[in-house]
Amino acid sequence: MAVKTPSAGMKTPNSTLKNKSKGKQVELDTDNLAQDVVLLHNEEHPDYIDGVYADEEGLLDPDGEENDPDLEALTPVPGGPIPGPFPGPFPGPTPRLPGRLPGRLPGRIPGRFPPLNFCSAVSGTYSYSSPFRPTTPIRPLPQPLPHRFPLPVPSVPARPARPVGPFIPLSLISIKVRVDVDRFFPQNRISIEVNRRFPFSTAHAIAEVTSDRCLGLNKRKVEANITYRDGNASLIQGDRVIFEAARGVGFGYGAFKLTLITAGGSRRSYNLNFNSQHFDEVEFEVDRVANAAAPTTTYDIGSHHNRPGNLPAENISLKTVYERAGFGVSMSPNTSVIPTAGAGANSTWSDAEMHNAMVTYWSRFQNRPQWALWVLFAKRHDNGRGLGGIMFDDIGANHRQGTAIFTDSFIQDAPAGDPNAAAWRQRMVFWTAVHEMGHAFNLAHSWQKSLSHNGGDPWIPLANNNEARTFMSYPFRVAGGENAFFSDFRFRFMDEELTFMRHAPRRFVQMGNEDWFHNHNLEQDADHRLSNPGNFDLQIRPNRSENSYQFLEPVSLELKLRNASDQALEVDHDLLEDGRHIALFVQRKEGKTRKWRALSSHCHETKTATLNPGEAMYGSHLVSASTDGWTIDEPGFYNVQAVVDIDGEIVSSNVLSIYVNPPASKEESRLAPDYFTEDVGRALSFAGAPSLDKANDVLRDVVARCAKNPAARHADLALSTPMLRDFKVLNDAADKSELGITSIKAKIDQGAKSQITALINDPDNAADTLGHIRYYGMLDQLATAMTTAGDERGANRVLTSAVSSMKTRKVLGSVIKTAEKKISGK
Amino acid sequence: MMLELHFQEGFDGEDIEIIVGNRVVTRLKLRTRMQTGLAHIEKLMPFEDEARQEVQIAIAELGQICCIKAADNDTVYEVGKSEPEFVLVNLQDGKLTFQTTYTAPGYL
Repeated sequence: MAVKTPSAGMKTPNSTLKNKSKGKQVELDTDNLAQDVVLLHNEEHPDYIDGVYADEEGLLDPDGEENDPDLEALTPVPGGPIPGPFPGPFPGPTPRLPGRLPGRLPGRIPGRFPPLNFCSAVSGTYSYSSPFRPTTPIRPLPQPLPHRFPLPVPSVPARPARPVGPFIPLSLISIKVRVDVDRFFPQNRISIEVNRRFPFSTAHAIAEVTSDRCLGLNKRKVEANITYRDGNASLIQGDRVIFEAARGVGFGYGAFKLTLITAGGSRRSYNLNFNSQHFDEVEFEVDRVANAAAPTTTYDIGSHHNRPGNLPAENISLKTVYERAGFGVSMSPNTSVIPTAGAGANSTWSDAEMHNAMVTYWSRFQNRPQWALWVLFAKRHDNGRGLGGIMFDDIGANHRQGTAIFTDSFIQDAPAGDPNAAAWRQRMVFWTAVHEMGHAFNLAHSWQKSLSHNGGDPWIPLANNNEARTFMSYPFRVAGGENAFFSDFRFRFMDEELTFMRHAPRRFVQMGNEDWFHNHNLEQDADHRLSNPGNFDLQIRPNRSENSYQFLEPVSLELKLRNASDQALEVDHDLLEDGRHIALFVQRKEGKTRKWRALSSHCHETKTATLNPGEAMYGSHLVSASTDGWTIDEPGFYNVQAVVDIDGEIVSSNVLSIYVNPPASKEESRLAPDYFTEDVGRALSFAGAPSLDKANDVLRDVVARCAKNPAARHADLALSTPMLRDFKVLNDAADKSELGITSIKAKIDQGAKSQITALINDPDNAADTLGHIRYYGMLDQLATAMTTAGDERGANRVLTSAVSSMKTRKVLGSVIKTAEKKISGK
Repeated sequence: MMLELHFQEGFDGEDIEIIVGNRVVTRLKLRTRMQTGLAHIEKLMPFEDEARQEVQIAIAELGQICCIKAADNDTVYEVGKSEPEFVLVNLQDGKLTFQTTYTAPGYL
């Protein structure tokens, strides 16, 4: 590990020298080869979509909503807020005025005015806020809210009496809408972000566009279905979204509306204000270490011959790339050169040193989430010439604030014989800078998309893509190497990355917010989605009437896999029973996602089972306890989703939402620290572990002190199940020299008595908390033990009770028949 | 002969021993750094007797020992004798995979 002597370039966070705060700015030289090559105007770029034309179908809106009175220019939505001031002569997205018609669209009309059936671009960010306006003091009570009021429901009337006196605008609800249907690399998504101030709550939804129509000159209607949700779902009710834009005065758009439609057809509308063509604003600050080469912040695409044939030659910059990715980019003027005079012989950088330099030299450093990023050009990393750049900031509580590019590294090594080595080098350094900055937006490498951080993320898995032509790949890693890469690379991020950057919950993306690599991807193109491609249907369910659990109560969930195809399919016979096939993700609402791993799995000879069309198989698992601790150990809402791997076909389940109640007594709170331990998790999961003395003591406490909690039933079963058989345990020999096996003699009478109490005296609640599979499995185990001990009558009583309960709970007929056969002895 | 072992993707806290001949030269706990796709670079240099040396990578958790032997031995992973060589080691589905290259790998 290299250690640098203190110098101007290696300051500690406590250093008093902070150039930017003292106003010292340095003009940063840059390595720009082609200043005379200009950036194309957006409309001239082949990757830019300027809007949409109406076709016959579009002009004849099948819904008959083209004359929707709600969307006449500047007409407020009934019951909605009073629209704000007229937003200016050309509000909203850039109006398409003469001379700015898109060249690539068919039917280009060279006249002064745009065609009457053209709708210009609408992509960008829109907002709605419900204002709180105090009315006259004589009317203290708010009027009752009409049902047709849009949600989220403001707590005061939307059309208040005339404001009196000083007016303090206070927005209780704010909505941000990101529309992504045109301009650069549209992802055909509409995302909606809702913030409620009081009581505080947030929600986020992403909708996939299903239709985008131009109903006349700048009268556009985009429809979409919500496919992703995060946060408080009740704040964004409905699954269908309509975004409409209409003319104001003149040709430009003047009115925007968002409508949410529920499955029942009820609609809630919000008038929107246009904010920006971009989805978020971000600032980049580029600094350089004194002994590093000049930063490369631009690249002339035409300077190297190896590029896609139809990619225009233009001089792009870091700003250009990220603006085309959807961000409003500002380059900080506070650039500086970090001196190295005191660094001694060691001129390489460790991650910690760069972090300290960031704290000292970055003018925007605050160690909190913000849309700002520090980009350092340094000479070389401690790891040597093989490291071209790194997003070094996974240090401390706020990750992804800084990134570095190393100018004395392999990215300078143009291949021998390259006809334009200088352009190759400039391209590679520029590409590396964009790549490292991409990590700061929480983008993983293209071949790491399916990986998770410590098994906990991502919530919705993506497929790896080794061949992607994106800034987040490695050019030299694809088939054919970097020549193949750049011949087909359009200096862009791939669609899944753009969707993530533009539409994911903002905390996933914003620098300094979500930890690096947590929730690093969101969802992928529908063609490649890792979900059920049609052969199987996987469900996760609690098998109880309510999805709520008591504090301490182990959460046992059932998996059902149905053959949804029209032919018989073979699967592993223990596909859902054994943990090795299953991945379960447990997410505390608005918190981190953890991957559940089974506490045991079995290695045995492969054995298949045939699932006929429509036939299903089942499995049950205690989801609360995993190999690395408890996944559900606090009150609150949780999402649970299962994924199974069936010979390479990844099938994902529904997302099940469950609620864990707060402790019902002080005893429950007191027991929690001892209860939520690995040993107790194992004892419950394995239905008994006599060797885990401390865990068994805790379980006895649960039975004695929290008898009304369903956890007591689980504890009772874990304590009594080992009594049903002679139980082998490992013991130290007396002299501790070796291990020996001893057997604890079965106490079937005692065990059966406890189990009958736990399983049969209150069968409904027992089946509720254990789940059908575990419940009937334990009854069967009890009956078998009693039969073995010679208590045939007792065993029959247990099985009869099981059959009765199964019939009441409408368990599968085949399972009931099996139990009945045991009773009759056939 | 110099040999560079590049432990890349798939490592998540595995304990690894690198054995040259009969001697354990290092013990490591490896974890892939996602920013770079690299867990560790181990430089083994120089081998005293090229033809007889054998490198073993042992992963305790997996009960797996993988060998990289000199070219005259009967092995899949051949190590060159005269040039610096890089062996890319990845852990996929519980198994180590190897790829040899004469080009120094780069990371970004």
